[in-house]
Amino acid sequence: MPINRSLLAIPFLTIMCLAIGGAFSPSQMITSPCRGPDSFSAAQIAHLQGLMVSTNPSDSAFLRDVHLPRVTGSAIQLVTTDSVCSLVVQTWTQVDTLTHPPLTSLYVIQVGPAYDAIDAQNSGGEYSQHLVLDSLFHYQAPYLF
Amino acid sequence: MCRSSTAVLQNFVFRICISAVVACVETPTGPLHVRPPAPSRSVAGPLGSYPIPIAPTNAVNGGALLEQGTGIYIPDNSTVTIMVTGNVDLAKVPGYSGNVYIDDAVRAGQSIPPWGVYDHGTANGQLQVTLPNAANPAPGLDSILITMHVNTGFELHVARNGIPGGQTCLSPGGEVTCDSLGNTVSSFAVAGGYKLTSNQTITVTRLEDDVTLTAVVSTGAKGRSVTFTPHADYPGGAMNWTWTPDSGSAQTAACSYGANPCITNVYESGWMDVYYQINAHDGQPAMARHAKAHVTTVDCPTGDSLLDRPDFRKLFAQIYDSAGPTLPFTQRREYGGWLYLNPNTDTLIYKPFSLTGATPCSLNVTPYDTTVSPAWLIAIPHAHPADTGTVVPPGVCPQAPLGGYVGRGPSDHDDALAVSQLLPVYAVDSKTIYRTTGPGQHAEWPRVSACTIF
Repeated sequence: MPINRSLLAIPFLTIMCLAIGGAFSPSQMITSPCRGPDSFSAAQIAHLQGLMVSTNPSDSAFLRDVHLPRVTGSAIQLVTTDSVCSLVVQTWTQVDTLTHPPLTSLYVIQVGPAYDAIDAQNSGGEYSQHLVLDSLFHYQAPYLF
Repeated sequence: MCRSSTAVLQNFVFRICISAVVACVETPTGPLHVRPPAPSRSVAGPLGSYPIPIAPTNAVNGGALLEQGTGIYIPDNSTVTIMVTGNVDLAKVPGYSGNVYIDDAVRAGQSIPPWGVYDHGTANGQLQVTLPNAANPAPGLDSILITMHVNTGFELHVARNGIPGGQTCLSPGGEVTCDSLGNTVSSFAVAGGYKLTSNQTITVTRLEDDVTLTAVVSTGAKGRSVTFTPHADYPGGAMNWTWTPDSGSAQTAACSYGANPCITNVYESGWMDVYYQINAHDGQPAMARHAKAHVTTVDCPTGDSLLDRPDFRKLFAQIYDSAGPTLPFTQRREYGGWLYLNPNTDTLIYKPFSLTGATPCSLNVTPYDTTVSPAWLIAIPHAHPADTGTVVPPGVCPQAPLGGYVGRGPSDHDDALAVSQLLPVYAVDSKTIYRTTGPGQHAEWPRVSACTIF
């Protein structure tokens, strides 16, 4: 099957534009969709790990309501793989039409087969917005913590 | 013939009456962090003085100064000296002869009694002091010094009667009858007596308590064992122990005489008093001093020294109610503020955050209130009107536009606030009280279980 040269030219031009744009506009540099490890993510992971071992009935109900599986503590990890985070961001922006501009990066915590995504950019009050996604990055439930 | 052939002055009484006005203020104990119980140590210094005027009706045959306030207020739980100074100049009425004897006289400089609690605290309460025995009253009688301990503060009142003169009934030739004033029967005449001719001054000075009493643990469950330990600057020993409940009848038993320390089970909030004898030292006579310590009992003790304060429980309940937890969700507001503890009075001071910008799920942490020392900050209490498991509708919480289930407190922002302010953050929702001092450093208590916190 012949290769359409125009199709090859588009990604090439895209890459060149991004590279040039990045060189002259640092603020628009391509950033990782994964928020890296820090004290916030550590606290969130610790909280999730606490939920998993909690015997409080309200915690069990909460996990069930937000579709988070009960897993071992070691199965809760911060995701740093851009391709995974990109898919999470994609789902988030589809669900969240209220946040402007749309989010470009998130804390993504893998909870067994599920993902817990957290927007820490807009936190200014008591809670942060969380979204739970399943293993196929389908939106499951929102929650606040 | 006269009923009495000698001039006898039978009633020479000089009285200073001290009555009381009740002034009682409770200062609860039990700080946030475990710290030594606050001892009941007084601050020494003059409390005031008052010139006792001569009664307007001062005369040989009496004259009284009605009870009047001195403007000197003696505080609760204080040891004071009350000194009456100034010459009691008495004018001898011509014709008088004989001595004056006064029962129960108090000699200058003597403390009466060496220890004890005087009757006071009621409108009729009265401390009566008589002048020293003076065989031959003359100008310049000794002053009077009283050392006393006051449990319940009052304003010092003074009054005194006049100094009636003695009467000699004269009978040139037969029986006469003298009336009490001696001036209505022509056959006798006033023959002796005294009257005041100068003012005196009553001066009150608060002594520095050199005995303190500590209670461990001062706040906690009903029926717990509390150890009361007196501390003195000089050798001595505990004597009487007295337990006074804040209200109602006492179930708590005070310790027996001489116990040291006093260990007893406390069943209701109240004061434990101890009288402590300080041995003679440095030329000072042995003297009893007094100290007291307050103990608080609460239902549902948590072990958290702030949450076990009744005043904090009351405040925290008000904070929760202020968040409007029963209002429609969109009308609720997180409510909270800075909590200070005045270490001098052991009282809480609450300065709420501005409600501007607050939402059902966010709090606007405003700067410290500069009218209160930041060193007095002890906690950040606030209310979560959104319960765990509540579903927040979309668009209500700005920082969480999608809403969703509310996680169990304390929130991550509570953790962050505790870390940034180096203060414990307390949160309360409809069912639970939370405390965080940082991520993973949480404690929580159900508001209602077998007992009720609030």
